[in-house]
Amino acid sequence: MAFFEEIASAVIAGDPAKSQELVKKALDGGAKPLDIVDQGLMAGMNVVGERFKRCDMFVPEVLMAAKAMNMGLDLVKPHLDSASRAGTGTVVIGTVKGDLHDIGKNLVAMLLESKGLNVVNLGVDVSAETFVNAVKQHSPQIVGMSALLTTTMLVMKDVIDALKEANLRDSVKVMIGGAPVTQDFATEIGADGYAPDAVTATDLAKGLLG
Amino acid sequence: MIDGSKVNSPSFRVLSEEQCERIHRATLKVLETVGVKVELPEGREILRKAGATVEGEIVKIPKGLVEEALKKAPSSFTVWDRLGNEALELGGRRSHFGGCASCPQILDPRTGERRPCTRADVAEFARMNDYLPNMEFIMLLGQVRDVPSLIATQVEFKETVSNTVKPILMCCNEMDVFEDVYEMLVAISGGADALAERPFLIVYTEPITPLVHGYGLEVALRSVERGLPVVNTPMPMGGATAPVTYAGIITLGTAESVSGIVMQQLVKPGAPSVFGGIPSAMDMLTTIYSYGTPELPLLCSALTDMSHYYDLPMFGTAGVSDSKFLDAQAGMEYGISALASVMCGSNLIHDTGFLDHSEVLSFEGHLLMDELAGYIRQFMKGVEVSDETLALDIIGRVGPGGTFVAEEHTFRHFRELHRTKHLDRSRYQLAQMEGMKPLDQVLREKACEILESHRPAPLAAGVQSRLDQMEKKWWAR
Repeated sequence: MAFFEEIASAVIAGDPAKSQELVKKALDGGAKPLDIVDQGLMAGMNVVGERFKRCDMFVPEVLMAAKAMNMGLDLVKPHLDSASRAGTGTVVIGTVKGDLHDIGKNLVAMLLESKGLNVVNLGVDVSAETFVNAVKQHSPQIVGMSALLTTTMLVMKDVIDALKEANLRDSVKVMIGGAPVTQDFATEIGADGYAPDAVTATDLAKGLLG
Repeated sequence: MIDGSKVNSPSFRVLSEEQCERIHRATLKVLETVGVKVELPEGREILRKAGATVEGEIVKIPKGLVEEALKKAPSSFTVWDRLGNEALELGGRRSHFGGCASCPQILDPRTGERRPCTRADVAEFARMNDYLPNMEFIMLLGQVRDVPSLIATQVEFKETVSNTVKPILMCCNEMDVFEDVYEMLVAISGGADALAERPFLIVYTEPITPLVHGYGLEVALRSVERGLPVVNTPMPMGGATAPVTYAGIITLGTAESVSGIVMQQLVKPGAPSVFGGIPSAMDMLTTIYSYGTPELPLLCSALTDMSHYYDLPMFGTAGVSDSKFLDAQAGMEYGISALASVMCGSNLIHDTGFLDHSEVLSFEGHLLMDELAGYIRQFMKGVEVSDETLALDIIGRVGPGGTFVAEEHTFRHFRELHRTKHLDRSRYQLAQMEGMKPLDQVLREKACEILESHRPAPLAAGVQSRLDQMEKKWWAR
């Protein structure tokens, strides 16, 4: 449908105002909320993802597209039934204790949101205890951890140990990332996955959700 | 030292005097209206007492305070080597290059393998850097992976100081780590006063962009009190931690570096503070902090213009590439950043021999930088025009169609031409007979050769054993 294509185009162009305007029009015109999401907003975001992978789009464009998608989504959400609103999964994400770097982690969070996942962003300098409490509170399928420093990446193991101690380790998948982190390190500390950048992290999360 | 202050030296600037003034005014406005976040209570108190406004952790620094403090900072000063000789003359347009002995990963010079950096690598790198004539200091980042992270910096310092006499630039944010290193410094210098008189350690402190002075500030303040020079170098990343536009990146970096210097000058007026910054842009495809992009030499040069505007020594960056190998890309990125940093008159130029946007240390890359520094030294000689160099009498004597090679004038001056140690200028036929190798391989073999043969001046036996005792204490904690 041409109308959904226009919504997708607004997302691809990174135009939040246009996206909202078109979504509102679609809702007023009686379009099915789920179709607006799937054929409009998400369809646009999928194109963005592909173009980014092909190096045809750049990070600021992807982020503006994600914003356009999320602002459109905000208008649709109240019209979705609870089953569709539940989305496809929840991810708790944070930069580990002692580390204040959040750009990479926020990028991952935004891209995960743009894939329709519910993201709980705990910020930076997050202790093992805070991770455990967030898992108890939000029951996520995935816990994502980030570290930029070689000295703080070791904290990731503490978080995994704390999850084990709280008997929560089996209820979540753990994925990790950050400049000094490697697949070997992920294997060593018993994480379920490692991603070297935000796009790969999004694919990894989708894979872990099965 | 490469002295770019001579009349004939090629030089360039990025910012005009008017642009420097405008960035200075913008910097003052940022410090006065936005302010800086100072996490260390002592830092806030120092600024408050001097007339700054403190709101929570945010400190707004009035214009007058900034300008007064900047006037107190020396425009140049000397850094010594471990033996008490003058080593670095920081200021003006004099350039010194130095390598960095630790990195998360290294390229093993013997096997070519990429692997985590160890204390043995630091010792070897320090030894090689000690040998290289164009490398004048060495830097430490506290990144070795085969000792506990809490003692990585101490171990790196110990390995380095045992393997080179050259001045050391150390990155350190923890007071207890700093105290361990200071104990070693005092033992080597033979007392705190002797150390303050001839410091051979420079302390690196990094404000966290945008506009945050973390707890590492305490190390900087104690260093200043004890007579150690301090480098103030933020890393504004255009489009991520800083505005994406060049002037915004420079302004933010200047505000961060200057506010650190203000605190140091308030603690000890006249303390040797170095202005600096590693400004670059985030690569918008990969999100890496790019060291190879032309933005790095351009913005480093612009910040160097600001250092000249303030008449402060500048901490520069060159000889680091985003490439994973010592290849054509690395050569290009090393060469342009190194030449730009010298031509704009940067003083303490670090990071030489890094690859993979500063993730990997390369011994052969560092050797290439030593060669490159010699090349640039030649370039910076410029052209001397005098009766002797115009050589009109010789031109007349040889005349049209003649040859100059056997002239006494040629004999007298040919040593002034550049000579290369490792670059290939051979004839193909001869090179083929002797076996041809690409430069990275030549340099790797040379690195191994230096490691086998060079023995730096050791520490006095008594001092070395005291350092060993200190290390036992760190491990016992």
